[in-house]
Amino acid sequence: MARIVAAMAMVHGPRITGAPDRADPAAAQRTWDGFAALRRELEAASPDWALVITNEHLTNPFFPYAAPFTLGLAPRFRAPAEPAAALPEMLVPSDEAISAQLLDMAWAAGFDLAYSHDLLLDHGTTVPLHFLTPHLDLPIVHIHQLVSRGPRPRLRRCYELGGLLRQFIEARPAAERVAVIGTGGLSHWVGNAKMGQVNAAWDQHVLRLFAERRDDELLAMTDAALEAEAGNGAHELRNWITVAGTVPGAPGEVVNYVEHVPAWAQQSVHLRFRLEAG
Amino acid sequence: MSTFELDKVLYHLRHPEQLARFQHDPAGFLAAYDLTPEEARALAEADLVALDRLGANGYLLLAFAHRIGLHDYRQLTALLAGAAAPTPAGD
Repeated sequence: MARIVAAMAMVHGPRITGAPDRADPAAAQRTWDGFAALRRELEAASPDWALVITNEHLTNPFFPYAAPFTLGLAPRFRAPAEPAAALPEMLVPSDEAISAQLLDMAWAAGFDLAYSHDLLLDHGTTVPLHFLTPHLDLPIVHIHQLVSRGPRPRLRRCYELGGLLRQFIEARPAAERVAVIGTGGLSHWVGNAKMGQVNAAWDQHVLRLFAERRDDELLAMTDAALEAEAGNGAHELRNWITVAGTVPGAPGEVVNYVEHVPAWAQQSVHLRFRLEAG
Repeated sequence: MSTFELDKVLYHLRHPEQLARFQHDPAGFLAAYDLTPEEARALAEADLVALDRLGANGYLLLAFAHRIGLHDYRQLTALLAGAAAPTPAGD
C-alpha cells in the first residue's frame, strides 16, 4: 500500500510574504526557519504528490452554493495575483487522475465531496507553497474546506475526512509516497476590532492537544466557543484537524512557534506529525 | 438576521470593475440587491463601523477596506475600536 511519508501544518497569513519587513526580525527569521525545516522534511520524504488541505478566503463565491469540502478536479489551478501577499499570479499543478479516483472512492464510501474544475487558489495555498515547493514541481491534490464564512462543517467531520483520505492513500499502489499539508492560523481575528490580537494560552493548549493526541478534546470544541476564545480566523484549525485525521496517533511536534507577530495579525507556527519509520 | 445579501455585495466589490461601477453610482449599483435601508446606507457611505456592526463577514470587510485605501489592517482595527490610527511603524 502507498504511504503517507510526511504530514505537517503551518500558518499561511498573507502578510508573511506581503509584509515580511514589518515583523520583528527575530520572529520573521524563526518563520523562515520553520518553513525551511518543513521544506527539508518534504524533500527528504520525496513524495510523488501531496494533498493540500486549506481554505480560501472568499476568493471564490459562496453563492449560490457553499460546500463543506471541495476537491479540485483539473490539471492545474490558478491563484490570481494577490497584492496583500505580494505574490504574482501562480499556476499550481494538480493531478486530475488521482483527484478523480479520490472523488469516486469518497462517493462510494458515502462521503459526498463537492468538486470544482475552476477553483481559485489564494494565500491559503500560495504562501506555504512559496516556501515549501518554490518551483511548483509537486502535483497537488487540492481540498478546500468551508472555513471563512459560516455555517461550517463540524470539526469532527473534518477529522473524518482525514480518515477517508488515509484510506484512499493506503489503497493506492505500494510504491507511491504521499505528503499531507494543512495550512491555517491558530487564534486570530480578521476584519474586526480585535484583529491583531492572539490568544496565546489557547494556542498553547491546542498545540498540547496535538502533541498528546487528545483528539476527542480537540473535536469537542464548539464553533461558538472557538470563535469567542480564539477569533473568527481560528476556524482554520479545521485544516490542521483534517491533517491530524490522516495520521491518527502521530504526535504533533512543534517546529516553530512565535506566540505573537502583531504585524502579521497572528502567531507564527509550524508543526510536523512524527510518523513511524518504515 | 442573515448577512448574506450584505456579504454578497462585499464579495462583488472585490472586483475592480464592479467597485468602479459602485463608486460611480452607489445607489444605482445597490438597487440590484435586497438590502435593508441601513445596510444600503452603510455600503453607500462605506461606513466600515456600521458594516461591522451589521455583521459583515470579517474577511470581506477587510478586503473592502483595503480596496478603498486602508492598506494596513491596523487602520481598520483602529477605526472599529474607536481609537486613533496607529503609525505604521512595525511592531
